[in-house]
Amino acid sequence: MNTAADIKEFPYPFKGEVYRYSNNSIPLETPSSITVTSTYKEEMILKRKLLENHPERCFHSLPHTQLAQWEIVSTIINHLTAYNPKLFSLEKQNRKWTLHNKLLNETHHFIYGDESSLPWQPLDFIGRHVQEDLIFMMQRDGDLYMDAGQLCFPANWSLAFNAGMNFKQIHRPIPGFKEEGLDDRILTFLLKMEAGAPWVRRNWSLMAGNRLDTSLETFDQWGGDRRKVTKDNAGEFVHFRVEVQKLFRMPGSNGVLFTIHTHLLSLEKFASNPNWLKQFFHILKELPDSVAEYKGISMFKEPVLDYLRRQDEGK
Amino acid sequence: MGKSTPVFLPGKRKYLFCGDKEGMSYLEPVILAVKAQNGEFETGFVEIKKSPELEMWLRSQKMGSYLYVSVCWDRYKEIKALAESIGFTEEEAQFMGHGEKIVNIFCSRCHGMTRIRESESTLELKCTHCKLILVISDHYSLLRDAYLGYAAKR
Repeated sequence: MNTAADIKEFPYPFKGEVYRYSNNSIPLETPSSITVTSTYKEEMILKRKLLENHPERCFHSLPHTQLAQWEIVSTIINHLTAYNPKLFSLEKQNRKWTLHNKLLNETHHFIYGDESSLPWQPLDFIGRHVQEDLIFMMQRDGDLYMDAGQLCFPANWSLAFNAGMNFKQIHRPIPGFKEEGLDDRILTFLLKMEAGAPWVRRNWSLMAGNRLDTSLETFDQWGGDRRKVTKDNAGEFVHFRVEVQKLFRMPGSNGVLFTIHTHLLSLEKFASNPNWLKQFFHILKELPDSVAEYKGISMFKEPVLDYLRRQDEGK
Repeated sequence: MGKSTPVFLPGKRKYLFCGDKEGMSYLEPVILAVKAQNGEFETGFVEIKKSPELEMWLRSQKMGSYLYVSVCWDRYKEIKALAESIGFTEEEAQFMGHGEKIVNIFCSRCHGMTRIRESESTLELKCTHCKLILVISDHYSLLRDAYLGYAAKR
């Protein structure tokens, strides 16, 4: 399944000529947790198939998140209907809600707050209507804990393993994250987030192929593709992977909802923009080895640089 | 993880010492320190006090009791979980393990657990469930009580 989106929808992730890990969050101008793109239908089919076949790796929740999950349902439906009124609508009769998803031609009746009225847990239900992965972190004892999530398109991490971890435990494998004090700074930032003032950040990597479900569980299926990259096939084979992560403080539960929308774009299409090509060539050339290793790029960094150099010289 | 040696914290209303025979020997310096201050204390040998008795003993204690636990790693988690479920917080207890320690490795592919001895320092192992070769990382999950095993890059 080719899930690479159009270049017009691609969220270019870079601001400068150098990339380092940082808290690159900025205020979210349009306060919607959800974006509907041209690949909606095919991604929904893929997502639901993964949830059906691999529930243990795609969904996790701790029992105390039930109320918070309903708040997320309400928030996401509000955003879907407010920003896409022709595609989604909601009818309310007290607690009896009816969601119309016109893109999928589906109607869902349920009683808000009553889990027995849904075939899945609330977060698992609403996640089946949006392209985003949904990660919910509960706040307690001055920390954030990943207590619920629906994750179908992870960039090489495991929801099943990270479940229940606090913020620093989750990010422990990131090189320099602790040593440079980033863990404390970002956690402090997140703990101070306020309801009604959402944030957004973009995270990027390169991948061999165009799979959205690059879970840690399936690494043996796609990890080897990175050895197949050459300077001749890089344009079509290698894809940019950008996650648009939106952060919302939930006023009811006081938790933080992360919605993660993953975009893929072939290197060929990416390089057709001369400004992007020049800037990224510079960034990749000077990217520290530890960052390249963590992002899984090390194995094919050189052929990609060769490809970009050749494209740049041809322009 | 448990501390390797107990630390005496003076000024508690009452001290509780819980351990097996070897564990009690590690707690001895603290017991002597409590005795030297004429402090109130009780001991509970885990070999004698099986789980129901141990639970009753811990439950019968009053607020202000401070608990020391020193047991073999095999019983460490069970007794720590019991004490925590009764209400002993991290501020009210010290837990120590001794002997051979077994650690769990979480398979990133099948989520199966492979148990290894901590002393068997190895970088790679085969998942006992799906047979994938795993590289053992230092990424630890408290919920899973396991270290993450990544698929080895072949």
